[in-house]
Amino acid sequence: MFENIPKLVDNTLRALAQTGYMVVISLAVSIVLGGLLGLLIYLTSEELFLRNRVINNIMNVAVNIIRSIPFLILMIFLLPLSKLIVGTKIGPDAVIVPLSICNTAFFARLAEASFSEVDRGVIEAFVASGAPKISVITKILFPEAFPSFVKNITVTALSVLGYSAMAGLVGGGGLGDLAYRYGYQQYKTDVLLVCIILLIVLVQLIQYTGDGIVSRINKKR
Amino acid sequence: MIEFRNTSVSFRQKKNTTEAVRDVSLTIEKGTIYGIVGGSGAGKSTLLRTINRLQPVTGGDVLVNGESIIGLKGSRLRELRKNIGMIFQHFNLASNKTVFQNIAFMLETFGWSRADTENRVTELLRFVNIPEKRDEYPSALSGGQKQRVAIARALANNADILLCDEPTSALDAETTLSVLELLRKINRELGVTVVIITHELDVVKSICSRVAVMENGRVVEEGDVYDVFSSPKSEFTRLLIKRTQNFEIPEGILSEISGDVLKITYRGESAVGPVLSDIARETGADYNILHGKIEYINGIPLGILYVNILGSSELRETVREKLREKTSEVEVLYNV
Repeated sequence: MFENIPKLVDNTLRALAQTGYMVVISLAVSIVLGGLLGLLIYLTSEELFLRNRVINNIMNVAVNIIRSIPFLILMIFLLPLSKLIVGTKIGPDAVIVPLSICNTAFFARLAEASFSEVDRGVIEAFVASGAPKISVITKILFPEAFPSFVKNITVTALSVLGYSAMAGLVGGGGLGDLAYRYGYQQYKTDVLLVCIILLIVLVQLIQYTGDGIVSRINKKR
Repeated sequence: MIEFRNTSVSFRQKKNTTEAVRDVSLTIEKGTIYGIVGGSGAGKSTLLRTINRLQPVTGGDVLVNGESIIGLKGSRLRELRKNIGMIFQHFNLASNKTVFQNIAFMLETFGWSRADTENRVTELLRFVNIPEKRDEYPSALSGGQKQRVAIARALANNADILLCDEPTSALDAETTLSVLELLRKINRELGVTVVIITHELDVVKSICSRVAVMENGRVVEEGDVYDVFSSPKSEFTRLLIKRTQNFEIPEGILSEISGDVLKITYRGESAVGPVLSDIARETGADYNILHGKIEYINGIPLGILYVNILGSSELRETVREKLREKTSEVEVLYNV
């Protein structure tokens, strides 16, 4: 154990960078697309805004379909799509596509919940004042949902990090890949250990940062 | 002026249709403080919401300042809503905005400049008497203060109608009085028509000039507050008033009593005169006061007295006659 420290450090750093790359890009895509989807699902379910059963149902079913496929299978299934979008079926770039799609659906649900949690009476009070819906959405709904939204970004970041570890199975790189190839297939327990410790530290860091931001911005008690 | 013309609202849920408001016709004159009372589920909240179209009607018409509002859409609906402020039982302030931001939103969204907004909010906060809370978040305010912010928000765009949905039901007795005082000031100083729905009759008694009583979606009685409370016409109103008067003669006293037990209602002028003692002196009858109170509705006294009259049956009869002449109503509760 720990006989080739320089190589271990080198490998670990590269894997860490790959994980970071996959997580950051996928998370950004998921927040934007998932946030939008979640907002649309909320708006089409709410009478005060744009209630529309048909559109609402279509989006709900789409989200449910993606959410019902285990990530590993979704990833394999979507690799041809990766080839189409990013031009490759292997490596971190290829994994970003299924990772983003899966977490977009995941975050859409959470974002929808964040919007639904906003006190309906508050929304109603501002709608009743004659303010245009668009300003109620951007200036009341968003700020009121924001703390919960940030909390759910934290949850999604951890989900992306967890799923990114599975990328190793299709040559995606990252900490999960490192742990799998060296730690599992080559019985290098030291590598496995380092990966686990790094993942624990990453999760703590993300959670801690997220909670910190939420408690700073939330004025509701 | 707000007019309901055969207004009905029904909700369809799967196979069941609930008629929340049934065929209501009412006129709320400009500049009045109008109360709508009734138990929970009576439809009063639904009726109130039809005024600013938060609740679409399913039958009849609703007119605000002479104009039918049931078909309004888009910018014309927003224009209507801009002129109708609304406050709620649970205040409904945005929790992540300061007091200033909650009110300023109403102005900025209608194109007010930064400087004008500053001045207007300062003016409003002074009017509702909490200028020092400008930069607080709602979580740091008491219930009464939150309702004051909500009132300032509702009046920001110079609304001429203020709809109040159980405005004091989440407040303690003392805060209730101060919020009602503020509503009265708004009505008096700004000429705002105030419509209050509540299940608390005391609220209506203390500030409303007219009242409608609702039961099962219908208005069962409507009129001047004093008239409705001093001589209710519908059975439901009578029951409602009796429940709040909350007076029963204890059994123990009844079993020891002889003679008549009368409930005497005095209205207006006669409520302050020494009617009972005059009659007792004249006739020589003895009396014993069991319970009594005088309350002021719209500044006019309404007295209710429970008395036990002693003496021979002829004497008691004479007393009853004389009381009937000089008071508004004499009801014989027991005759032993």
